[in-house]
Amino acid sequence: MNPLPIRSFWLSSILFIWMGCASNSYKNLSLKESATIDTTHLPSLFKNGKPAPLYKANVNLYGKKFGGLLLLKNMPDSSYRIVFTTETGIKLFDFELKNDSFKVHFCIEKFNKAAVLQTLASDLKLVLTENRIGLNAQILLPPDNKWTIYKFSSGQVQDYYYKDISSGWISKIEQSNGKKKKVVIALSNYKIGIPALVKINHKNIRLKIDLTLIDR
Amino acid sequence: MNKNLILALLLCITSLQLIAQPKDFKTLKDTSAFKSKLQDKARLTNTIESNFTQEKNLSMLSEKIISKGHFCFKKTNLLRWEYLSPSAYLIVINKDKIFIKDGKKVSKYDANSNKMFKGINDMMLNSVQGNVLNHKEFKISYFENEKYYLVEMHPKAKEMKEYLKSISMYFDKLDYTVSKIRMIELSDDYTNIEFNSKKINEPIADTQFLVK
Repeated sequence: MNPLPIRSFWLSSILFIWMGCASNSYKNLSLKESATIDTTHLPSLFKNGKPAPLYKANVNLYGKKFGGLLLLKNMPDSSYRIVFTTETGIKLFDFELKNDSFKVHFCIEKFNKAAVLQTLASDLKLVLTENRIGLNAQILLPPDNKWTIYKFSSGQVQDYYYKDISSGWISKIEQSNGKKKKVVIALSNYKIGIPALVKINHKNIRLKIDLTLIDR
Repeated sequence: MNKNLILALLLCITSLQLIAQPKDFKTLKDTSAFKSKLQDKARLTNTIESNFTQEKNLSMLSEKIISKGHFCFKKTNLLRWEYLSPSAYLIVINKDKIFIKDGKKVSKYDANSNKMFKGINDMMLNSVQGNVLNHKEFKISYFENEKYYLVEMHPKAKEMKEYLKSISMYFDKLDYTVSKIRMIELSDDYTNIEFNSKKINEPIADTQFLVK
């Protein structure tokens, strides 16, 4: 017997079950209310760092691994500057994010591609929670009441922010297109209100970014 | 604006750049004596060991990223450049191989396999061996003050021009070793590297240039 159809059957079944899980993972959530979001709902994740939070970044893009230092600086005009350098001090990119506008101050040619910039901008917009303040969100509760979940919808895309009820910190951010999760971000080991570990995991492209806060 | 005016303006700007010299430094007149002395010293230098402090200045952000580490060089073509803080990162050049250890992960490259690695390899080794002044990929100007000879290098190669405006190397007048390096980027952000506790010609084990 040709084993290929059997393997395909199992693969399809696993994929089907997995997709079912992904799309159903939000179905057990109950709607508490809709609200205009302020900082009591979603605290800033990187604002209070003095000096500005500096992370050791490890990137795995389609199996190609590289690293560097990532600085997230909250500027006096409330914008953020995000600078990525090599350990040897060579700047790879310098972005600015203010509200929803994303500006490239500098980017080396290798990263200066529309798809790369779009992905990085989208990830940064997810973790820099300030740009959610003043927007409307649904406040959802899971059956175990472990989290308060804030759901933002924009077209086909939904962003979910999981706030740990016991600690008050954001412990997970997910972006979904309604059918599948696109990005899952785990935030943990908070130090003075700043997550010391940030793990960004893309589901539709093979991209993982791990950030570890550096003491300085 | 007519063509002659543009040309005149360009000439003025170029002339200004030609005569521009760093503050507190004067143009070095006898560059060949300096070069020959530097090469003599390099010929007699078999090992160099030093600590270093690297300061990355992000001017628009008023932020500095300070890294500290340790550096070893041994003739011929053995170099260890190790960051100890804020995170562990090690670069070792062993002849024509480059090793990079980032945390626990070790990557090995052939120095000749990639233009950028070849550039890093040449730059680091030539700097410590006194050959940097013969580098054809830079336009080089020489200055001096009481304490230092200052060599300013402006890259000609396109790949390097994308990152760097200039590299300034400060050679100590007492022992002709590099005391500090300043790399200025196109945005005017710069990186300073200062060397301290230098040891010249003290034994360094070959195991320093192996990465596991």
